[in-house]
Amino acid sequence: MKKLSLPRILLVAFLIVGAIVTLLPVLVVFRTSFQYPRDIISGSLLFTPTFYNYIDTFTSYRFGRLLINSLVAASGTTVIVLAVASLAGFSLGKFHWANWAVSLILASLLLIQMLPPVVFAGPFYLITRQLGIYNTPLALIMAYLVLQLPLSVLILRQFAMAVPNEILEAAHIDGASNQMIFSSISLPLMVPGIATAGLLSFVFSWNDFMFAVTLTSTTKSMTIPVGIANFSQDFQVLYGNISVAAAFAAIPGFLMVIFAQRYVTRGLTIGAIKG
Amino acid sequence: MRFVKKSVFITMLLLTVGLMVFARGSTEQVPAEGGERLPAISILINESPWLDAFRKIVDVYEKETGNEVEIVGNPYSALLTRITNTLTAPESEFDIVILDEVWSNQFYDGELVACLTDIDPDFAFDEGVIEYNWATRWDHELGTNAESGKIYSVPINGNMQILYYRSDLLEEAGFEPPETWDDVFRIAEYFYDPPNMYGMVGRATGRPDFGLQAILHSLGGYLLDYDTNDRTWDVGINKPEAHEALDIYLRLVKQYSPDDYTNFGQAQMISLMQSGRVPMIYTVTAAAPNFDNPAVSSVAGLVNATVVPGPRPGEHAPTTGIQPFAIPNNLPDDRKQAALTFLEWVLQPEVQVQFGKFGGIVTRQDAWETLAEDPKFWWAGAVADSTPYAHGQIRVTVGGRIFSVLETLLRSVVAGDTEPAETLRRAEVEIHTIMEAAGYVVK
Amino acid sequence: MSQRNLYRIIDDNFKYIAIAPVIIVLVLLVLMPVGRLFATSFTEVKFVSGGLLFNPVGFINYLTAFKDAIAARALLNTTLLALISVSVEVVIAVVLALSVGYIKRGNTFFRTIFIFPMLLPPIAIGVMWLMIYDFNYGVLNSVLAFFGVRGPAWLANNMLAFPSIIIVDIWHWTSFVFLIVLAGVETLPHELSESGRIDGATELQIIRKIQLPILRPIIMTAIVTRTIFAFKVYEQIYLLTDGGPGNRTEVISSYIMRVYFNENRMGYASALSVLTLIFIAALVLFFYQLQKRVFNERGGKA
Repeated sequence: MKKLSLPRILLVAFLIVGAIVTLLPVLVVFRTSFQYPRDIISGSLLFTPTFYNYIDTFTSYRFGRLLINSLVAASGTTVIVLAVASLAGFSLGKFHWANWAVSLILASLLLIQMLPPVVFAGPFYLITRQLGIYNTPLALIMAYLVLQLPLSVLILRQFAMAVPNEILEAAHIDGASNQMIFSSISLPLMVPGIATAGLLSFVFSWNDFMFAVTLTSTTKSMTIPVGIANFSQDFQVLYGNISVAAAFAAIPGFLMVIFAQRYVTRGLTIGAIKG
Repeated sequence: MRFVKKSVFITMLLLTVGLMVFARGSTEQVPAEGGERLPAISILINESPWLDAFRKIVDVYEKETGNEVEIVGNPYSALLTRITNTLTAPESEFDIVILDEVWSNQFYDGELVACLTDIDPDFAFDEGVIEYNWATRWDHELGTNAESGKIYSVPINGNMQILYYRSDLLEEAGFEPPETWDDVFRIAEYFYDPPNMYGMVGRATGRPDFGLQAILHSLGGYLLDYDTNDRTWDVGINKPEAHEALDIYLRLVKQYSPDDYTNFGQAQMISLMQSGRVPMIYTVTAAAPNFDNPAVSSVAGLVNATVVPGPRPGEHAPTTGIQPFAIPNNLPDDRKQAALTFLEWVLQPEVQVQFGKFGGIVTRQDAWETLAEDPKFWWAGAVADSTPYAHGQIRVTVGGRIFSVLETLLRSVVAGDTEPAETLRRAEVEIHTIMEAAGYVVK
Repeated sequence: MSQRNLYRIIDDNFKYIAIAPVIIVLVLLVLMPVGRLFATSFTEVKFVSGGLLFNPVGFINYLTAFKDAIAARALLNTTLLALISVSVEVVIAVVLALSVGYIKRGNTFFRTIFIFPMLLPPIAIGVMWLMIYDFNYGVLNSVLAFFGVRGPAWLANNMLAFPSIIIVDIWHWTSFVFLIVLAGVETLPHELSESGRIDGATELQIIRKIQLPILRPIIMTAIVTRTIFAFKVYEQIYLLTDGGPGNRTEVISSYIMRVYFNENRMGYASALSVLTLIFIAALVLFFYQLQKRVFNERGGKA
């Protein structure tokens, strides 16, 4: 596969253009983060670089604390979602279910996703206050569970379905129990799906604003998006601070992508060896 | 190999449980214990340029009294959500919530916030406190804010429109600060030189009516008028004054503005002024300290303020947009008492001056007058001069709905989707309907 | 032994045990809010003597909704936004995902970059594009000015505002579709493509005849999920245009929020939510039917 044909050059060119288009706006934010607020609104392309926004952001907010809160909420959600959704995906994808049952479950999952988030915000506020978990990461995990489960189940069902039946049948004949087939054969084969679903759960929980602002109130458990939104104020939008915060907010997700990628690609190879 | 997989699965589960325990355990609150100290209170407030001043004055309170106060800053966009949630819960999580003149009345009327004289029968405002056309009182019988009403909140952020102008530019060109709308247009015309300089910008989105009201009221018109004799309301948005006001408003918003005038809210107006590309704007007092911060503004030291213009000198009607503080009704008595103690403390004359010096938008006329003596607070004089003319916003329970309707209509007329006359006709019909549905008697 | 028995019971009922957690979570946490939503949609909610009063009004909220021109416009805008941006996103994402599969060196690099936009909080994306689009200080117009061109008001111009918003949406969400499709591409069985190659099929034929059919269910998942997400866009638009100019970029989720809180009409907002739900459900159903028609097959079911 080493020939340098014309289509190949076009392909690479296409990817490079795609990468540039994706990166340019990010560079704009990066640039903004080094500008004095007065230069941001000046409209001039030239400016004196400064750390003003960085200093201001980290002195006015306990951003470290928000980062930890976000991490706890997002990773907690991801772990639970993956455990619950991979089981459900396996059950739906690999066992025989009556048509109506599958349709019912899938349809309700989709319907949950379709509901405007505001529908859940009010009731969840009351539930978390009642349970005494209001303003804790647990409240967020509870809410994100509901929001992230549907998509993860849908994705993992697809990946469970893609696991070749022959391997499972062979294991069954060897006397393996269903739970064993799930955990030792199916799960490893579903790794790309798990990595994808996990990444999505993490990122969406990480970026959620609506529930974070409803279910937490103080820096004790407030998450990054609320911290960022606090810079978008009544009489002014602090572009510089938002840019700084955004740059830091993207780091954990970025690490997750790099980490998860190895698994997104590795999935079937492991399966093939085992099979 | 299978054991490995299984153990991974078990670890995952353990991690989950551990995390839940951690999440729960790490956030256990330690209740504040204290001898004669009052219970700690928490205040729900929105993030804004004046929040820093408020934090400082709260520090002073904590040092002076030993009482604890927690400030919960919040994005403005989520403020109403959070207030609605906390006031309708079995028990409020906050002891004081910030309201907004526009949608305070629904909470007074529904008694979701406590009547302050129920907490302390002796509570009253002294003469120095500006009452903003009774914005903090509600008369249940009349269904409007009135002197006869019960007090439900305390004005803390006394936001009011003032006209900011570039003293250097106006002086250089030989202009006096504008007193009339005609002055405004003359000055705008003179400076208009896009894209380097614009003449005037107006508020076209994010409560555009706030800009229109100052014009309408200065011409003697009104949105809603209450006749206390036969207790009926009159919708004034389709009267000749309103048509003239809309004319002025549209000129002001469009004629001497950048091409993106349809997208101009408060933040955009202030930014343009800060970048030195417009010689004047009229907007809230809270913006003032921002013009003096050299990191944020290119025009530090060059801005001055005056009363919002009118049709003729001496005929002004700057709109107030105050943010009063209220105490939730769903609170135990001792917490209500602690909250009220704090609010009474903030209203004291010396405290108000101190708050003003920190950059707060105070609510006592005497404090404004004291501040005005110091040139550092160049906006204070303009506010003190404006108080006698100040005009409140809507005085019914359905303010939020009426302004939502006006927002839609004004935005469409600014975007050129509807004709001005048609816009006002529709506004009249819609406001009429909303008022009647809310149980008001309308002419 | 009881432990053995338990093991057997789990084995025999694994199908049910595996699905139980998701059902439990959803029943516990979803039924109440949804029930409340439907109940509220038939009432008018008022603040009375320190509490909420739910005043039954029958179908009035629903009737009001059908006469609400802003709601109709917001729904139309949202639908257009969803249809246009989702189709563009799917095309770009599928091409990108397949292309990345073809190159060996730098493929991790490209993948990471193409996934990146999704990682940023929506508010940050709003500010990012404001810094680009703003008429007075946006980078786009500054660059144009450098070349002597006076740029338009991207976000405030009656013709440009909506397309500008769509571009933001495409930039943001292509990454999501890319990620999902990529996971599918990675699980494509190489043997099939290889045998196709040996039979002398061109790469394009392999993609069209072998790979795309296998990817179809996963692409369908991406389309459906993205369409649903598109009906939730809110934060970016609030920051970029706040629904303007006029109501050209007003979207349904921000309108529902406005009705719910600013207008203090919880009953009506609930009715709008229910109607939006029905609308999206119908749209998704339509997608599935369309897919069946076009490919003349039983849908994405097992």
